[in-house]
Amino acid sequence: MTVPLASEHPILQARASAEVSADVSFEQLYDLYKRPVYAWLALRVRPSDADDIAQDVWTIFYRRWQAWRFPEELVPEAKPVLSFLYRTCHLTLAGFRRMQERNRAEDVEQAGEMAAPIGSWQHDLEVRQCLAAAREACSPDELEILIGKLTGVSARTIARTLGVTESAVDHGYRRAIAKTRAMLSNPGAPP
Amino acid sequence: MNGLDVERTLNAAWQTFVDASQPNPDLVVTTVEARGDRITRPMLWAELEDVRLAFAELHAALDEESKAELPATTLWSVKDVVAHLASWATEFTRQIEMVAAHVPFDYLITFTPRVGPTEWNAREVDRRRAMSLDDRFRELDAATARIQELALSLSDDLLFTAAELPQTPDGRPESRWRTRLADLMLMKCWHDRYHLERVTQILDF
Repeated sequence: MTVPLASEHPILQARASAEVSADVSFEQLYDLYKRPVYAWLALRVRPSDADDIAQDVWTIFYRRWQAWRFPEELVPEAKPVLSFLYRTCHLTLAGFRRMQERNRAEDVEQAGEMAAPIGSWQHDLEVRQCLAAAREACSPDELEILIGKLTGVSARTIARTLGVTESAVDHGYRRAIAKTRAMLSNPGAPP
Repeated sequence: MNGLDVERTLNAAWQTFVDASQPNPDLVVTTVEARGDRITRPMLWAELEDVRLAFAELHAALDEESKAELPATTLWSVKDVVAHLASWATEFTRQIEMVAAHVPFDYLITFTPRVGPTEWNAREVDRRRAMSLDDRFRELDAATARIQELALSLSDDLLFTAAELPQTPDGRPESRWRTRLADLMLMKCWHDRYHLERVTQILDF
């Protein structure tokens, strides 16, 4: 089960055939993926840090997008940009954490107060508890796998990003679900 | 809730979380206007980590010695290209560390435009002829990891102020490159990716 997102394929096609400029297509891709990118980060760091890291991620993508290599045939189901953004988020967040550790700054895990609980989000307690339980119960890699799968990132991309096999991604996902379920059944128990 | 219920609820939770997220509305405009000029330490670390992971994948894919002997350029095999990348990773590390220690460079690398530093490149690849493929990858990874550390540890003054480097387009000391170390780190990633792309095409993976 994954969250359906609009397809990036028409944007890639238009850019590959030079119907739109790099900047215009960048803006279209930004519109398509700005929320999942921000959500990936906001689940784990405080909002001001999520803003900074999101800017880093989009800047890296902007540079790469200027010289993006398109395959001869674009597969409609492929999501190379989503994959790129997922991997870049993961790496940039890792760099941010390394810097935090080096600076002995406050612990980002404690600081991330389930960012972006805005508006309608607050009304559904069960739904909110479920995501909070997942964050509490899962290891960083399991959480990475979980949010990747929930966003529709391929198991192959997740595996390459984390340096594991695709079957390890599937196991990690099942483990994340099981741990979340256990946490919901017995809140307060150690994960 | 059973496993399926949890999965369904997590999906709904994630969708709600994504829909409710409020990314900075000015970000797209500032990114385009800046033409991607922003450089931060996490960004440098991430770019370097990205090429390190790509090297690790390439290393794993070269599971047979014969693949490493395939021609990658008109002059070099895949194995030579790895030596070339290792030599530049070591050289970039040395340059960054010398700038950080305020040690002046007592050598030049003549970098002919569009051709590159042909003599220097050939000499450095030759110096690594006796090294195994694993050792070449090891040198490449260790130097890249060291640059990652420097990206996080150098002062802002060192990282983001232009420094004079040994590269020169015409062999004259007064023409030496002046560039920020942060830009040099990104240049290394660009150079690595340039060769990685060629090599992965040749190896067809």
